[in-house]
Amino acid sequence: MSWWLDIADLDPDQKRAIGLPAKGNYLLVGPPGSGKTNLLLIRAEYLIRSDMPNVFVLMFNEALHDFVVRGGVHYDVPRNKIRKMLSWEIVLLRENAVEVDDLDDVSLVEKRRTIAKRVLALIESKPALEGHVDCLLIDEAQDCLAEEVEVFFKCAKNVCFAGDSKQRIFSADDALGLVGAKAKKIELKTHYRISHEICRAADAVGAAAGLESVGQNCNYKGPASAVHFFQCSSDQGQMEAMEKTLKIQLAAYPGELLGVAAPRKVDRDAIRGFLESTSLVNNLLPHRESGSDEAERLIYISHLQDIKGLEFRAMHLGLMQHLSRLGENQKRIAYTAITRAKTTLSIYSDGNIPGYLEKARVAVEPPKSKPDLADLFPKKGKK
Amino acid sequence: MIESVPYSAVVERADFGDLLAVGRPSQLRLRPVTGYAEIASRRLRPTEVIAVWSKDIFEAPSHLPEMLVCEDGSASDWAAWITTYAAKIRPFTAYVRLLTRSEFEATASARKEPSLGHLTWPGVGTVMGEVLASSKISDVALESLPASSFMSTLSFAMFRAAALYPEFRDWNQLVESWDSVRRMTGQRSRPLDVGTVARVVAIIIDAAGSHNTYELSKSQETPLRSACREMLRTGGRPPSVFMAFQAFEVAEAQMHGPREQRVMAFVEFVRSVPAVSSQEEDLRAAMLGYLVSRIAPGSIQHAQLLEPIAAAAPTASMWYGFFAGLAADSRLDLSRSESGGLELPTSARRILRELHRREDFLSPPNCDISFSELVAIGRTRHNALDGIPTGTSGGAIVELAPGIYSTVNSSKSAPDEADFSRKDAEVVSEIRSALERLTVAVGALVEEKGGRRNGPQRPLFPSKRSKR
Repeated sequence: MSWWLDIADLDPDQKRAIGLPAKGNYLLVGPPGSGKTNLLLIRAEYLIRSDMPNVFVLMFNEALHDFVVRGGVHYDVPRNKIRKMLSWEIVLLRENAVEVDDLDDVSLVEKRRTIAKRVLALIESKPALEGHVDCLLIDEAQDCLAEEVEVFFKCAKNVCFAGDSKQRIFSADDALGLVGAKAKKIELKTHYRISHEICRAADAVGAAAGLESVGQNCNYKGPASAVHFFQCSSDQGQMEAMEKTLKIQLAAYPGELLGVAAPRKVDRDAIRGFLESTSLVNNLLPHRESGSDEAERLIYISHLQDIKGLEFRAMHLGLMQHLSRLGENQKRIAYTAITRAKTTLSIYSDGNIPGYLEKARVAVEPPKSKPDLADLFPKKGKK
Repeated sequence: MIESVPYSAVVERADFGDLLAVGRPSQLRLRPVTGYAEIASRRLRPTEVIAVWSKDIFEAPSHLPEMLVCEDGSASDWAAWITTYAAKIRPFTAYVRLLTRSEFEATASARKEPSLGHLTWPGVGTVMGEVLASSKISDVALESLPASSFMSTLSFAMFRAAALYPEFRDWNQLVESWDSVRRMTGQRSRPLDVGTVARVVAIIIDAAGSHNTYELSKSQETPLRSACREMLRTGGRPPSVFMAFQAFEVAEAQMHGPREQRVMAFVEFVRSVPAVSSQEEDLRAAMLGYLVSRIAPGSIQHAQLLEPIAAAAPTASMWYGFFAGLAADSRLDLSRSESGGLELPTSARRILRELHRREDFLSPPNCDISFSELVAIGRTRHNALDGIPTGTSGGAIVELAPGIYSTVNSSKSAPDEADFSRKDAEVVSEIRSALERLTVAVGALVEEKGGRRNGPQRPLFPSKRSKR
């Protein structure tokens, strides 16, 4: 992530966000790459320095948590202040002797909802816990459940949420709507992370999902960008093309994270298995870790739903012919995956990709000249 | 430069103790003076120096002079004498500058605000490039290296000279002093030899048009010099000299797309670049440095691409730094940098701060010891820095010429030839002393016959000074 370290790097919207008073409830909304996560971390540092030490920055998944913890070293936000939402709730329940180990057999969403309900019941029985935290800062709030939103408002004197409804892929609840009713909304209009070419691809996919354009507020100033669609007849061919490009990118973008993702876990495992058999093996990050103390480990491999919140200088989406297996949420998932890329996006398939992704390909390819009508018919004298 | 010189006195060796005495130096005849000309016009005997104070010593009686001015050719003798007989303030050049008359006159023309002009960021980049080439570190490490690492380079000393003096002339002597300091203080030898570094920096400084460095670069005009001149004029556009090579032209054409494409173009250029004659090695290294700098213009983050060819093109990293700085300069001018500011490593600003540091020659020097005193002490010690107190732990700042500094590591107890036995070291020291005595004797003989006394060591480069 391009962590801000200086106030000179902020735009007027972002400056307005950092100018907010320490107390109060806020909701930061903005497109991918507009700096929401950064602003949460900066705010956490400010609150700690403002004699409000009891703050937590909460996020969803392991990979994003790891990513933010690594970024947190640029700010004075202690590691133990950055937590995963679910584990933060579970610790609270355990500290108060509430059972949490009976939920192994339920789905993740069901588990989250049950845990949140138990926290609310705990607060009901122990009113002292209401507002026991100075501030909670919640990232990726669009994927919160309604019960979780309620938990955060109950537990903290002040809350600050950051989210983007376009990137909602886990929850059917309108979490941002619930938050917006109780918190002051600050809108970040401009984004910096995603190149214009990648915005065009994202907008093509986003339009199919009924999402607003990200291209119109793009203020990308990074290296020259490109979007490539690779069509290979075999999975092996796709992975070989990916390997070749990754090797060049390690030299082109030294020290920067490169992402590899595939629709399903089985696709992810196939790609990891292949890359582990190549000379890139020492460049691969361990499973679910988005950084490493070994400087050469820079390639993150995951399935598409596990990369939300992360960002990569170059993103490789492989075996995309299986995208349709992700069901009704696939367009939002594809949109979120595409918007993880900053500069280069490579999409690999056997040519059998959904229509909305085909539109993305057309959107980034140079316009073709119209064929001559006569060329559409066989020439006379030829069989 | 000095704006006013309040007090001075001619001091004989016999009266030198008065300079160090606490209280009013009663034996000295102090004179208020108005400026350079008055001091510069005084003729001195070899046993006399002019002591110069910035303040009224009647008001600050324990105040040491800021400057001692001696006749040309007598600085090493004075350094040896003071180091021997005034051992209590050793190293005395940490407090008092010892200047020859020529050096004193040169300080009169020194810039009040040192500036590299068009070479500001290209100069900083070249210093970083020398560090990369000399230490084999990764470019990421440039972010966190201390300023002393950059100040230890020869290019830093040369660019400092160019920044401080509008017409610096003693390039040979400066390079020689830098090299001697490293040898005398047992610094680790560097992969890039001193002559090569001096040649590259000389070409760059000369191309900027403010200094004549032909004595270092060995020739008056080369294709590389004209290429640098063209690039400084055009803000970094590929020069016609480079474009005359077809492989370069092809690669350069690819340097406008995504970085992946640029990396591939560079790799292809390395594959296709023909073997060149030794005269063209610098040119090839410069082309390699230029192309790498085009991958992410204005930044230094692709030095690893030069590692595999470091043996064949050892100065390519220096050229990479130069061109990166040149691009950084253009980008800052145009305010169109990718992240809205300087993209060179953060340490670039620290290097610039040191290159542009103001020098008040009427203040105590900002060093631990001067070159002339280091030479004097080195004649009796295996490592000239042994036992010398320094301002920082593990490092020492040596003044090579007035206002031009270099840092050395002082934590090592012995020089490179550490495996010498103590007895061997003593023999070497004796031989050095004998050679020095012989040199002084020959110098005196030449002087008696009306000739000019040469320095104790042969210049590293043949002197070919001629006006462009």
